[in-house]
Amino acid sequence: MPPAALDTALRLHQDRVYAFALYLVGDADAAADLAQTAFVRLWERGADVAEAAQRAWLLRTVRNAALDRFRRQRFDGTVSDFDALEADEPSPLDQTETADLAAHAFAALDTLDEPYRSLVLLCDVQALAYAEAASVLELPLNTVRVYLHRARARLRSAFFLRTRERA
Amino acid sequence: MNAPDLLPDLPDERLEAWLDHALPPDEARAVADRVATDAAWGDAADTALRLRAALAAAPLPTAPPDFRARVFAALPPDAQPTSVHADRPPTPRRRRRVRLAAGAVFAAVVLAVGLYVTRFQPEPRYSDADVAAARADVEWTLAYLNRLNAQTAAHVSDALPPLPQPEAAR
Repeated sequence: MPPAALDTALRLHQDRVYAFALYLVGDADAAADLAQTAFVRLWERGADVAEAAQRAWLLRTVRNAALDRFRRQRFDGTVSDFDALEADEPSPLDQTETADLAAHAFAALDTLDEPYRSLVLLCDVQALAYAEAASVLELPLNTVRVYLHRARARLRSAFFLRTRERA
Repeated sequence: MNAPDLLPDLPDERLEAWLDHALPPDEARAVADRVATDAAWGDAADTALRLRAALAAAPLPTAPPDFRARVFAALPPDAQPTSVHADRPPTPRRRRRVRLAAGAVFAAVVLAVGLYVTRFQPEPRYSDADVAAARADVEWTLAYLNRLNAQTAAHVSDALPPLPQPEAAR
């Protein structure tokens, strides 16, 4: 891939890819590492990835790299589980002091397993179309619909419990 | 025989599908009725909508400023762009410099055009008829002035007292 093409891909997708990584791992340095990995792999793949499919490809690569990272850390005993990894790291929302409601929504989101969490992040936070989310997660479109409805139903229960506790 | 109830007792994934307009019409109508009449379903729909709004309004974190340079630094030398900072967002100082430069260029262009127009404008070309008309105007004006001059001189000499005669003439 010529430098100019990578440059264009960076300009178009770097914020979205970085944000997705940050929401997944909750750590700015780790997120930048994951996003960098995705762009370097894109450069290595070159013309194999069509321009129109770059965004989904990058998001998929970031997610797979994040999952690999969790598995490796579990194997090494670095962290015991997903929640422990995130427990002492400020979430993106803590850094930007968003509304209370959004904080509760993201806290509820942390209770979801994969791929439900990624699905909600892709469709409800990053506003991707279901078809593109299906491409990122390598799932059939109908499965994405069913999973997303399930994810939202679980998220809603967790969100409801959190807001009721606060009240 | 009554139609079978399409919905379970508690809100489930079907509510999310309804909010997504992803249900067939008869099922969507059933959910809408339930949301309108059942407080639990109404609350669930309200929570779902608030949740979606909260997630959609979340800020999208931006990549660190050095991210692009960092990616290129991880690539071999032959993959480097000509300028790593080519697309960096303009800082206020840089923006001011760009504006000043643009203003200077604009002023220089205006000055050059003005000079060209004033100094190198070609001589106007008149037709013979224009020249004859202008000459006739000038001749008429001169004749008029002469006549006016003669009349004025006559009036003035009439109004003045007679000039004293020299001694020799007496």
